Amino acid sequence: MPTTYTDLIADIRKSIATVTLEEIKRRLDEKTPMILVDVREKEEFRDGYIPGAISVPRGFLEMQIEGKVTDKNAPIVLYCAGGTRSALAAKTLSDLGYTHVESANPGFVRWKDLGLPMEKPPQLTEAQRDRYSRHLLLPEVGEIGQAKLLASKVLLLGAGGLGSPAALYLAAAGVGTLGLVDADTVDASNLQRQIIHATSRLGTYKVDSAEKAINDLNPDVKVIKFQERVDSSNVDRIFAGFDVIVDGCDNFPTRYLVNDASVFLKKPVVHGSIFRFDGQVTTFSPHTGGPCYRCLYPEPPPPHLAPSCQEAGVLGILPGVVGVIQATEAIKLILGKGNPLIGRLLTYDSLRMKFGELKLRRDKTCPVCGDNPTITSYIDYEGFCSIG
Amino acid sequence: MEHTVKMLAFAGARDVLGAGEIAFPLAAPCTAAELLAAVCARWPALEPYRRSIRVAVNGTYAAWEDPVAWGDEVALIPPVAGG
Repeated sequence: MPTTYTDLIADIRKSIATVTLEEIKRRLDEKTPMILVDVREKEEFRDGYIPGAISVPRGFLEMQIEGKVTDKNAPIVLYCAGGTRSALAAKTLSDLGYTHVESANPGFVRWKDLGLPMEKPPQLTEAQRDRYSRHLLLPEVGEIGQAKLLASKVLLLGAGGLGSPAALYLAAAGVGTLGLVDADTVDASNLQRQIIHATSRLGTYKVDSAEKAINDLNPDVKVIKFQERVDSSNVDRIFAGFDVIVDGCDNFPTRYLVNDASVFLKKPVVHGSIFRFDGQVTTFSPHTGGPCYRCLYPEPPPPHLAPSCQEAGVLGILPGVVGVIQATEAIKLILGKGNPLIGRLLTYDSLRMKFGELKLRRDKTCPVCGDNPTITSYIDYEGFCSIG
Repeated sequence: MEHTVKMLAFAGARDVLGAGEIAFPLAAPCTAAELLAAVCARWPALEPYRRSIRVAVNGTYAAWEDPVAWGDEVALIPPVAGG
């Protein structure tokens, strides 16, 4: 039995395989399959790491490694700053049954001195690490995903029933830039469902009212206000620079305009719509192969057959559910995780409390995204009343 | 036993039909377009929406020439725009 640290480390060094930094560089260049595990502390990892490495601090090694490396025969290369912690970690992994483990010798300090390539994780501030700590715990988000959210730009069409909950959750999630498009002012009849607004802000513009709520919730979020109605003359300008469009507008002419713009500008649209107790959500991403709104409904219905919430009524909570699903889709698109609702229409019946799903198909004869499109510029549909 | 399709109606179509789910009699297998025509004939109040309603058959938005058979589940889905 070793009696001192020196004896212990000497014994371990005899029992483990080591690999030189030059060899690691060669394997990276040749894309030799290996799992690089950085066993340093999180703070050290944040200052830079070998490209492609995953971070499992040695203190969490036994607890986390089986979740991160499920194949016990996978080739694993461990490294730390100088080669000692990775040697101890290699012994641990071999005790856990991993069969193909090597420890880098020396380690990252030398790697950096040699000027070998390194990556830096996105830098979150202490306050951001605190605010988004529950995101950072999720492997699907983590610091990299959170940085993506902070760098992302989402445009919300309508700061109304759907836009209110979507904006609040997207702001809370740390989407760095939120565009808000709405020409209306806050009316008392809005407050039954448009939860981003407040009684104290009745009569103010919805974009101003929403901006205040967003700033109070999360100062990380930059709000860009468009206090106007989307039409053919401004849609390109408004959409420019945004990554994802969340469509929570309240009328058919805008829905079609938004759809055509998304096809022309190759931007995904998370579509949500509500009627009394029913909601529908889908994600249109025609530039990646999915259908567009016109594949489903080539033309808007006649105006007198398209009742608004104002005319038809709506359960106040309904847009909450639908808008939050839209926000979820937007977050997934930004993170590139999960299965978006592309080619699927989610239906929600709040009275019967039933969710359903219908498969959607791209229409090769679609007038806007089909093989021989007939709509190649924007159309302003006439005859629709403005709906609140 | 009568030959029917299980018909689901969404949003405004449900309001016209008065129910979200109906066993709709079908004389013979037909196309999605013919089914919608038969439904509009039975409920004339739907006729104005005919051009904007879509039919899904067995969980998939159908093309108008797609077949509908006895026992199929068909859904009438009008577009909704509220937000």
